[in-house]
Amino acid sequence: MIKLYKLSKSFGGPRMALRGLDLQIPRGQFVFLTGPSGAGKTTFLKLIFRELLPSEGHVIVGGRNTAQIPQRYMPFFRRTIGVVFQDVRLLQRKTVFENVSLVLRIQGVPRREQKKRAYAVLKQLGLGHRMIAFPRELSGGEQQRIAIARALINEPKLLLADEPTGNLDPELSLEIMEIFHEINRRGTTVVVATHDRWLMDNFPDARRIHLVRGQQAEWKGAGRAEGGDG
Amino acid sequence: MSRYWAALKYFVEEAAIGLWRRKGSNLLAVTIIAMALFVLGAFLLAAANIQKAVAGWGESLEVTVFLADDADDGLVAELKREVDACPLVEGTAYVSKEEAARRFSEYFPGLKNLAGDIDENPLPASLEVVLRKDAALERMDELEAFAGQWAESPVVDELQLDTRWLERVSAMAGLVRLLGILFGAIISLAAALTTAAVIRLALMGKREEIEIMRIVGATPAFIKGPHLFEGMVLGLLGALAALALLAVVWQWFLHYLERTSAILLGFLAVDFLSPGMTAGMVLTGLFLGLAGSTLALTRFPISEE
Repeated sequence: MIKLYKLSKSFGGPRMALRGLDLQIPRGQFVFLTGPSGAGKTTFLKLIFRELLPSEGHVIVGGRNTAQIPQRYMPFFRRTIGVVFQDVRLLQRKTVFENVSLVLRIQGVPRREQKKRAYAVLKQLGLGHRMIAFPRELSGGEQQRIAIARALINEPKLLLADEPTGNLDPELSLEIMEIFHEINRRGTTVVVATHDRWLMDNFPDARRIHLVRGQQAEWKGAGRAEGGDG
Repeated sequence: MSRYWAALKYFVEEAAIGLWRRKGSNLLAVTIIAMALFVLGAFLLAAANIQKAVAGWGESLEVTVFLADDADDGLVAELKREVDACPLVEGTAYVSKEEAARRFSEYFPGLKNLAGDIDENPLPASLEVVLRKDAALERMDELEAFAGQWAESPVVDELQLDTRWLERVSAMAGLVRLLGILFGAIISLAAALTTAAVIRLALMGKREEIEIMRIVGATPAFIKGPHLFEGMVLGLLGALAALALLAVVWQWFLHYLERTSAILLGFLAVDFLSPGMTAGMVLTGLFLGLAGSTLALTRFPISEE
């Protein structure tokens, strides 16, 4: 699903955000991208959904080199990837339904179909009854589930989550991670950036990619250590 | 087709939300556009009416050929034939000295005894020449050349033709129109820039929303659409406000003329903007709004890299 070749990213300063990464994430894998703050986790994810371009090397997603995707095709590429952020990034002036169905709306999906699919994905996440609520009326955990629903409604092949439980208590964090795990079981490749060891320990089968100062490092905790490609 | 329809529906809905949410700044943009179009419309209105009056005066223009008292009837008949044959002339009428005296008494009844005080009728006989409609304004030089020939006749005492003032008034109408376009263009530029600033402000406030839309795969056209639509609506509202204001001022002006100089009003027979001009103002408003929003969207980071 994802192949990185000698991937480096620099923002112009003396320190590189990522340095010479070579790795592959096969289709259907559940991956924890871990490392301390500033290790390059967010940069890694941004390079995958082509929010950033590599300074050196290549990023191949679904067989396509992201640097060679023409600008006009970029929206269509993005629609194949679901992204969840720590700060949820919901449209505060829109209802839950409008937030979740935005992905379908921009593709011109009929409203009836939008409602059907939004309800289905929200119900799956236990929020079927909050369709007409506004994000500010929801708890932090509910907001994060709305963000997940938005990422899932288009049935992406790849789901990226950047510290999705960073603002949540352990119980809610575990609940959110269970949702990701369930999504993965249905065939979606899931990459979750987190530095929460406790959380990762609850999913020992998940693969860990450990980053330190922009480089892949050896994982010393519990769980399946990085080495092969799955 | 339904995809485009859905996108258009989205643009309209989002534009309506944006217009309502930023009422204050949008009102400012509409006011400036309305001011620009009001100035443009007022000048065009003035120019069109001056031009219309000039055309009217030109159409009713006559040439009067005053004949010498001792003019030979045969030569007068020959001159009349010559004038009638002129391509710029619709027809001629001979006014005898007696007819001239009768008209004088009719037009100036207070002075009718004056003719009796003088032994001899001082009013000359004349040929009244009615011109074709296009003669006075469009073929003035030709007309003056013909008039010069007629004046050479030995039976002509004096020839009355002054069309140059019409040419000057017509030129003034052109100048008024030009000034209108010039002032209108300057204020229109300010209006477009104000619209751009208002839309830009809206874009700044929606930075995060735009970022989210990009991430979920919205095309730049989909992100820009509501803002372009918003600009066009601002332009349209500005144009409608300008037309409404012009209509009110116009009514007030007519009412004022009616009270102060009803004769002048009848003489001028003024008109409001033609349907073509009204449509032109609406289109100009739409264009100003669209230009403003396009300007605001240019260089705003909607597409990455």
